[in-house]
Amino acid sequence: MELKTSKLDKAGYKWVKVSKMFDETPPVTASCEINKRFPGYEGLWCKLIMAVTSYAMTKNSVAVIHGPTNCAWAVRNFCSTNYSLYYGNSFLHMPTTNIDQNSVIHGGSEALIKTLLEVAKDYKPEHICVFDTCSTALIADDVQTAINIAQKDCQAKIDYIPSAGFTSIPLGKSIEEVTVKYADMMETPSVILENTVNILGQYKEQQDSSPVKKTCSGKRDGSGMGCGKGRGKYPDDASELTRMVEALGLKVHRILVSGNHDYIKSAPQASVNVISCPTWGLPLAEKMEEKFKTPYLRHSIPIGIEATSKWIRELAFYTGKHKEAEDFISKEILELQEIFDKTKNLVKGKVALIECGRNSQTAFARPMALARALQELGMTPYLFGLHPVELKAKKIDVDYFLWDGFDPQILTGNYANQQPVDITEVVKSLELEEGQYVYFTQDVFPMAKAGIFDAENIPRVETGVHLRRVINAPGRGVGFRGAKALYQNIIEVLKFSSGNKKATLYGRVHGEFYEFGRK
Amino acid sequence: MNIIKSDRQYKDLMRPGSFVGSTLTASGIKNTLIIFHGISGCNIEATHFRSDQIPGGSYVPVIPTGLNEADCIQGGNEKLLSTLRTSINQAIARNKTPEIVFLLTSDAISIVGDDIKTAAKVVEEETGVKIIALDTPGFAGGLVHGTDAVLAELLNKCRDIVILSDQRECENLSGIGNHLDSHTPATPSLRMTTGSINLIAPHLIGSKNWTNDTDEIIRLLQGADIQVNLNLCRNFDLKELSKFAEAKYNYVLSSEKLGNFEKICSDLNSDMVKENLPLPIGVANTEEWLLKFAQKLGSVEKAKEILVQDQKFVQKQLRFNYNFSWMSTLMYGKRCGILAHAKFGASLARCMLWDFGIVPKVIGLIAETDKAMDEAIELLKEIENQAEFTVLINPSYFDYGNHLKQAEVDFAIGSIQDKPLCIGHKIPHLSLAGFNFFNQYNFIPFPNFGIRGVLGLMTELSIVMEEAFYLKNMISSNNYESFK
Repeated sequence: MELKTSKLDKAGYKWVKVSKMFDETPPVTASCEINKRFPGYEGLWCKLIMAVTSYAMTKNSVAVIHGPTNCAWAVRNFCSTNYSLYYGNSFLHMPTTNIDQNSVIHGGSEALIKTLLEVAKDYKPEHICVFDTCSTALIADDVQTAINIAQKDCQAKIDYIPSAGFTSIPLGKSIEEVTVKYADMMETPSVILENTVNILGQYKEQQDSSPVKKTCSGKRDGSGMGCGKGRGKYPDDASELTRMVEALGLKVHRILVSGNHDYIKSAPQASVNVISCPTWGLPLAEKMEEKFKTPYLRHSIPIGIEATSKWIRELAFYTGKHKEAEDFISKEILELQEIFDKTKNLVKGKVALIECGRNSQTAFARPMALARALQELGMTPYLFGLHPVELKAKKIDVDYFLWDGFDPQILTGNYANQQPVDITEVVKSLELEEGQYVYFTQDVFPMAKAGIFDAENIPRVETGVHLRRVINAPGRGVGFRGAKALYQNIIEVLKFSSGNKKATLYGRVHGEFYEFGRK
Repeated sequence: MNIIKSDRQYKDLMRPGSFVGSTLTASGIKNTLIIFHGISGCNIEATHFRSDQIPGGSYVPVIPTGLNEADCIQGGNEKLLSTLRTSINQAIARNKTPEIVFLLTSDAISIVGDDIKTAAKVVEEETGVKIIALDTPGFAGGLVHGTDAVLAELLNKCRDIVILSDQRECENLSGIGNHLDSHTPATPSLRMTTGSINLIAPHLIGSKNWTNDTDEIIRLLQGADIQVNLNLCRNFDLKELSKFAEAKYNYVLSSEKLGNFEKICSDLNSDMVKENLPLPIGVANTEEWLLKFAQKLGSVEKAKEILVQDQKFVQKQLRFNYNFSWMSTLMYGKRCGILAHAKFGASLARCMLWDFGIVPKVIGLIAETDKAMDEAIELLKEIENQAEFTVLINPSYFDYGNHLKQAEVDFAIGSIQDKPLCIGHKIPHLSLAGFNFFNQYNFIPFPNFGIRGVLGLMTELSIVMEEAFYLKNMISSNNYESFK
C-alpha cells in the first residue's frame, strides 16, 4: 500500500504485511546491516532486567546478581516500581556481589562464592539463581565453577541464568534465551497427572489459584488467596485462563514461572502446557516438549471470542474434553452475543490504529492478538510503532500468528533512533478522517494534543498491559471475560469522543490548553 | 543507640551507579545534551532518573549511541562519533546549539575501553561545542562518584570561565590590564560575597521531593540574608558558572564527600561548609539549621523573622483544627522504621521524634562515603538518650525488613523500592525518601522541608495513618506476601 500525503512516505515508511516486514528485516545478529538500516536502534531494557524479571514470581528464592550494586539496583527499581506495586509480586531479594573496579581487573569469582555461602546462611532460601552482568561476563568470570564450589556447602539448589546486559539486545531474543533455562530446573516426571494443565508465559502478574494452593514437598509454594479472589476485583490473565481450564473439568497444575523450587521442578508432571503470553511461554513449552514430551497448545494470548474458542478447542483436543469445551463455549458466547453485536455495529467499517508501544517499540504479541480480536469485530487493523529488529527477534510469535492465518498491515521503516512516529502522519498516510478510526495505545506517553488529537475527538482505548486495569476482567483482555471488557471499553470511548467536546487535562498539557486559543 | 554494620560481601541496597549520578547532575544544566554511550538497560535507568529534573525544571535529552553486542566486544567508537556529530549538528541546524555536551559511559563500554576523550575532542573541534567526556561505569561507584565527576570536570573544563571572570574583576579593581593565562590557578577571589553560598548536588539529599525542598532551603537562606549564589545543578545556567568563586562557601547538602570537586574548590580558594548541620526537616531541625547558618553567614534577626513568619503561616492552618488534632494525637507515640540516605534519614528521625512524638525504632542509613555516614550518626547522638533505636549502616533490604519486624513498628518510611518489602511484612509504608521518579505522586510544588514543610509532612503522615489504622482490614487482605 502506498502512503498518501504523509511525511512518513518521504522518510521511507510503508505499510506492508507483518510477514513481509519480518522477511525484509535482516537477522538480529547482522550487526553491520542493522546499523546501516536502522540508525540509533538500541533495544529496550537489558537481558539482566528480563532475566531477573522472569524469576520475580518465584518463592523462597534469592536472585544473586554477580556484578556492581548498580545492576541490582536497576533491576530492583524495575521490579519494585513496576512488577511489585502494579502486579502484586512479592519482594524479591537480590543481593549483589558488589563488584568494583578491582574485581573488574582481578576477577570476581571469589566474591561470588563468598556471596553464595553468605546468602545461603543468612536468607536460608530453597533456591538461589545467579544472574551475571556486563562486567562479570566481559571479564569472563567462571560462574558455573564458582557455583559448583559453593553448592558443596549450600543446601539451597543453585542455578545460573546467563544474563549479561550487552548480549541479545532485542527483547524477544533475550526473553527466549532466559525462559528456556527454567526447563533445566525441572525434573523428568515419574508420573503424568491426568487432566492437569500448566499455564506458561505468566511473568509479572502474581497469580494464585486455589486449586494450585498446596504444599510442595511439605513446603509452602507461596500460593496466596485463590483465583480471582487473591487479586480482588482486578484479576489477571491466568485467573481467566484458570477459569477456562477448570470449566473443562481440568486442573491447573503449575503457573510458570512462579512458586518455589519444588513447584517449578515438578511442572513436567502436567498432561499439557497452555500458553498465556507466547513470547514468554512458547520457548519454554517447546523446550519442555523436547525434554519431557509435554505437549503444548499452539494457540496463545486468546483475545476475542474466536481466538478464545480456538484456544479452548485445542485444549479439548489434547485432553478429550470436547463436550465440556463446546458446552462452555456456547454458554459464554450466548452471554457475550449482545455486547458483541452492539460493538460490532458501532465500529463497522472503522480502522483500528494499534500502537506497539509508544517509546519501547517492542510490543508485538499483545497488539497482534488485539488486532485479531478487532478484525473479528469488523474493524481493519493497522499496527505501527514496532521496531523491525524487535519484530525479527520475535520469530516464535510471528510464526504463531501466521500459522493462525493472521497477517495484518504494519508500518515498516527505519524508526531512526527508536523515536515514535507521529500518529497524525500515520492518520494522513491512511487518508483517514475523524470518526473513521479508533486509537489503541499500549504504553505511557500516548499521543494526545488538545485541539488536534485527543480523546475528545479521537476515541482512545488503553490496552497496555501495565496500565490497563478493568474491573472484574483480566488486564490483557484474554478469554471471554477479557473480550467483554474490551467491547465495553470500545463502546465507552466511542461514546466519550462522539458526545464530548471537552479536552482531557492530559491533552491540554501537551496541546492547546484553552478552547479560546484554538483555531 | 545500637549501631549495626554488616560485614557481608553481598550488598542489596539503594545504590544507583555512577552514570545515574552524572546524568542527574548534568540534566540540571540548562541547554545541555547528554550522549549516553552504554547499553539500553543502563541508558533507560539514567533516562528515568533524569526525569527527576523535569518538574519545574527543563528537559535535557539523553541520546543513546545504540550499542549492540558486537560493539560491546569490538568497541563502539564509530557509533559514538556518528551519534555525537549527528546529534550536535542537528541541534545546530535547529538553532538549538547546546552550550555543553556530556558524554557518559556505562559498564560494558567502559571495560571495552572506547576512547571517549579523543572522540569528544575531535567533535568539539569540528562543531565548536564544548564536550565533557566522563567514564562513569557502575562498578566505579555510585551516585556520588558520578556527581563528583560531573561537578569536578565542569569546574575543570570551565576553569577558564571561572578564573577569567575572577581576574577581570581583579583588573577592574586594580586598574592593571594583564594578559591572562587561562590555566593559571585562580587567585583568591576579590569579589567573594560575604554571606553567599553555592548549593552543591541537591539531588543527593535523599528526599523524593528534593526539588521543592531545595527551593525551600533557598527561600529560607535568602530570608536570613544569606545569598544562594549558585545551585549546582538545578535549573542551572552555565553562564552563571563565572560566578562560582563569588560564594564564600560551598554547601554539599548531603554531606557526601565529593573528593575531586572539593580539591578543585580548594585550588580556587573556595571553602566548603564544614559544620555538621541537620537537613531542615521539621520545626526543631529547621530552627537549628537556619540559626546556625545565619550566625555564620547572614542575619540572625532576619532568620528569626522568617521563622516567625512561617510559624504564623503554619499556626493559621493548624490551630484549633480538629483534623490536625486528631491526626497529631493518633500518630503520637507510634513507632516507625526509616530507610533513607544517611543525612536525610538522621534528620527525619529527629523530626519524627521531636516534632511528632513518633519513635524511630529502626533507622537504616545509606551513604557512599564515610563523611556522610559519620555526620548522620553524630546527628542521631542528640536523640540517643530520648529513645531506644537501632541504626543499620548500609543495610541489605533483608536485614532492614527483619529489624522492622522485630521492632514491631507501626509503619515504615522509605522509598517506593522498599514499599513491597514492607507491605510483604504487612507494615504500612510511606514514601518520603529516594527520588521523584515513580515515587512522588504529589504534583503540588510544596516542600516537606522547612517550617512550612511540616504541612507537607503532616499530609504525608496522615496518609500512612489512614493506611495503618483506618484501612487495616484491607491491608491484611492484600495479596502481598513476605519472603517467608
